[in-house]
Amino acid sequence: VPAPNDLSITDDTVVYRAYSRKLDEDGRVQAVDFQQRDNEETLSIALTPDKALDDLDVRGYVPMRVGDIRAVHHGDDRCGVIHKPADLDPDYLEVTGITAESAQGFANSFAARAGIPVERPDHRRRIRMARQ
Amino acid sequence: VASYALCPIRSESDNLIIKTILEEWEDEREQAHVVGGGIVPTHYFRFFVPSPSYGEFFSLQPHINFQIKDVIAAITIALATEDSTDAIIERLDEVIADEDQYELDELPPSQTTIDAVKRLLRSMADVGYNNLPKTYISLYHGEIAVTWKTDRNLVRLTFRPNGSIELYRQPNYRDSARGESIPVTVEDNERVAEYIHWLSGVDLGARPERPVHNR
Repeated sequence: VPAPNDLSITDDTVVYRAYSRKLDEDGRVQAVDFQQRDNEETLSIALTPDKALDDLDVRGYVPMRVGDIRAVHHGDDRCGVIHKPADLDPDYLEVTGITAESAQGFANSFAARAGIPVERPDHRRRIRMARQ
Repeated sequence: VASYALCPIRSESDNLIIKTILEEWEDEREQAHVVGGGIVPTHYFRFFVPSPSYGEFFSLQPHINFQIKDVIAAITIALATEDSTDAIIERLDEVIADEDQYELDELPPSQTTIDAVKRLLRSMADVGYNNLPKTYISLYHGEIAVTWKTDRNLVRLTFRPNGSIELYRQPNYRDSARGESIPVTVEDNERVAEYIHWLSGVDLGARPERPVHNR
């Protein structure tokens, strides 16, 4: 069964994913930031940076084209992008079609295709203060 | 007729010549005729270019056919900044000590896990890897992941808090999420070496369709 996919969200749509880890040696978001967090039921993305950051203890956000998400395949299976079913805010989206078996592979693919990360100093500051 | 014979590749100028020729080939020719195994890790190979659009690589037997993209991948990984295992271990210690590598509620890996990583990395010298391709280290709730990658392929060793070690590889990882993993132990340096060699995209079973002339 193909993963649910809302085609009203076009491939050229730019979405944002929050990241919490330090960037890798190349200044790229690490693959683990494209795996589900403990508090996530699905891989969450948003239509705006602020919605992606929300109140999370994260460092910043990374942009990505919806077409790049849909382009990755796992055998015959592909991901989809839909609005979060239980959320009234249409700016919150999720990636469908990721299984426990394919999560690591998709995370590597998404990290490779993601755009330039943008760090938010206010979020970074909040993390530092929480550590003190 | 342009002719080049480089063996081994050691200098930046040699690298530049190779890159330039490969870029020309990429446009002109689908397949390069490459001779010699072990571009990675030994870097020893020679090549001969009778025209800008055609060339042959020469080295020791057995000779091998490569797709040009495989050659580029092999050169990329061979010429990428290599890390000595000592340097990687030093960086591992730095990463573990860096609080920015952790989530707020995240504990660092155990000493047992750290020691397992160091032991396996050090043993790579026993299978010909005194230096390793550019190495990426990441932490995740007690796990330590060591990743090597080219533009196409990815290999990762994940050392888990429970003592298990996973060796994972993912071909064409930008486009395909399908990877495969096997359990390994700290003794399995040969298997890790095999996977790192696989990164270059070299198919050791392939044979050239034309006769080869050693020069």
